Amino acid sequence: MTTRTVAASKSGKLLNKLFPYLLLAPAFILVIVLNYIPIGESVLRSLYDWRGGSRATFVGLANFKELFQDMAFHISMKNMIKLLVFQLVVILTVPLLAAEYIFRLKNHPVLQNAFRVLFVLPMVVPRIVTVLIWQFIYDGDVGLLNGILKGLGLVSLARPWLDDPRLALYAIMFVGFPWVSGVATLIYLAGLENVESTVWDSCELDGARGLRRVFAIDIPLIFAQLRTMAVLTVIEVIGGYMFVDILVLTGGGPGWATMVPGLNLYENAFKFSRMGYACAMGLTLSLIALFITLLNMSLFGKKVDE
Amino acid sequence: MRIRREDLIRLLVLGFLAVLTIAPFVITLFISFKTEAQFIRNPFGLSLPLHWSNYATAWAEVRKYLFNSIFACSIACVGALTTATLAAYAFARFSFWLDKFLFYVLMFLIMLPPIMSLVPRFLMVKRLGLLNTYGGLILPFMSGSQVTAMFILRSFFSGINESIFDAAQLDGASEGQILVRIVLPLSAPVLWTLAIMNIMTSWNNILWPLITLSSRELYPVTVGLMFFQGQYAIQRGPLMAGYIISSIPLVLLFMFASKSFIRGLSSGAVKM
Repeated sequence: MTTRTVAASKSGKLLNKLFPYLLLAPAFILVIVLNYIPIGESVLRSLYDWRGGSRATFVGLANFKELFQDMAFHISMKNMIKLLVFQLVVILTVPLLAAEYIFRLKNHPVLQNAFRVLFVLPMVVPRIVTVLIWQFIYDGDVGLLNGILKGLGLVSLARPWLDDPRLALYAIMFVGFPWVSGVATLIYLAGLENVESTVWDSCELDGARGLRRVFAIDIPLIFAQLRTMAVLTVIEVIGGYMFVDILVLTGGGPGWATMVPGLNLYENAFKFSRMGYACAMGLTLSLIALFITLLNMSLFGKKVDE
Repeated sequence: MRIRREDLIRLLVLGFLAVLTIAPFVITLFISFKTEAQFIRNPFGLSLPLHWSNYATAWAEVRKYLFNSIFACSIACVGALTTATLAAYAFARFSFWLDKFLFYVLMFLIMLPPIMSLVPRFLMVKRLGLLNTYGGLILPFMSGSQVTAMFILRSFFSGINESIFDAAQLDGASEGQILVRIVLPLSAPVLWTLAIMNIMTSWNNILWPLITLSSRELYPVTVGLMFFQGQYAIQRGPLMAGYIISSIPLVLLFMFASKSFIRGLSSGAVKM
C-alpha cells in the first residue's frame, strides 16, 4: 500500500516535471519540422548549385558572389529600399495623425467609435481584393483614376499607370492610399488611451497644445508603439509583404521597374529552378532584416518583447 | 450638439480620410450591380436597375474557392491557437529546465522573414508527401502563426492573478481543468483578436497556395480570384461581385467579433 503510493507519487512527480514539455511538444514539432530544419537546409543549400533534386554541386560562396553582381537583384534591392523608406514614412505619419484626431474627439464618443470602425473595416477586406480594386483604379482604359482626371479636364495626365516604367513603382506605393486603415492607427490610438489622464490635464494647465504637445509629449509617450510598427514594417517589406501587390499588379515589370527581392527569389526558385541560388538570396535578405531589427534593439536599448 | 472649432477641423480631416478610404470599396459595390452597358455609360456611380444576376454568375465561380478558404483557414486557426495556448501556458505557469532557451527558440522566428526558408520548406512539404493537399497548406500556416499568438498569450496568462490559480488548486482542480475552465474563458477577448488576425493572415496568403497547390479544386479564394479575374477581365459586373462575395466572410467575422477585436487591439495586449 505505502510502496504503491510512493510509486504513484513518484510517477506523478515525473509527470509533473514532464508536463510543461508535453504542452510545448506540438508547437515545437511544427516549428522544428517546418521552420528550423528548412532554415538549416537553406543555409546549407545556399552553398550549392542545386535545382531541387538529389544532385547538388558544392560551389562555396559562388551563389553569393553571383548575387552581388546580379543586375536584377541590384534593381530589386533598390526598389525595395525605396518602398521601405516610403512605407516607413507613411506608417509613422498618417495613422498617427488619424489616431491623434480620433483621440482628441473625446467630446463625441459616438463619432470616435464610428471612425474607428470605418478605418478598421477596409482592413478586413482581403488584400487581394484591395489590390485588384487598385488594379482597376490604375487601368489605362476604364480606370477610376483616369476617369477622375478626364472629369477634371486633365486628359493629358491620364495614362496606363502600371505600364509606365517611371511611374509603376510609385503607383504601387500608392495602393491603399490614404493608408489610415490598419493596425497602426488602432495601436497608436491604444497607446494614447493608455496614458494617464493627469498627463493631459497638466498639459492643458501648462499651455502645451497643438503640434508642440504632439512632439514634446505624445510622441515620446507612444514611442514604443511607433517603434514596434517601424520594426514590423521593415520585416514585412523585406520579407515579401509587397509580394502579392507586385505579383498581381505588374509581375515585377515593366522590365524590372517594380521587381523586388521577394519576387525575384520566387522566380529564381520556381520559374528557373535555381533553388540553391534562391536559398542564398533568402539568407541574404534575412540577414539584412535581422541586422536592422538588432540595430533597432541596440539603438533604443530595449527588447522587442517589452 | 454644439461642436467646437477644433473638433470641427478634426471631423473634417477624419471625414476626408474616411471618404478616401471607403470610396474604392463603395465604387466596387456599385459596379458589381452593373451590366457592361451600364458600366460604359456610367462607370463609377450607382446605376439602376441593380443586376443581382452578376452575383449569381460570380457565386457559381467563386463558391468552391470560398469554401476551400473557409475550411483551410479555420482549421489552421484552431490548430495554431491550440498549440500556441498550450505552449504559452507552459511558459507562463511553470519554470522548467531550459524554459528561457526554449522560449527564445520560438521567439527568434518572429525576427526572420518567412521568405528565408521558402524553398526548403516547399521541399520539406514535398518530402512529407503533402504537396497539393490541404495538409501542406494548413500545417505551415499553423507553424508560422502560432509563434506570435504564443507570445501574446503568454504575456496575457502571466498577468492573470496568482490567487485565482491557488484557489482552483485548493479546490482540487487539475492543471488541465484550470486551463480549460478558468484561463481560457478569461482570455476570450484576446483569443478572438488572435483568431481574427490569424484568419486574416492565412486568408491573405497567396504565395504558399500558389506554389504548393496544383489542382484548381483546392485553390483558396485568393488564388481563385486571380484566375477568375483573368476569365472575366471584360465583364466587370460579375468580376466586382466576385470581389464582394470574397470579402463577405471576413467582414461578417469581423462584425461578429468587432467589439472584442477592437478592445483586444486597443487594450495593448497586442502591443508586442
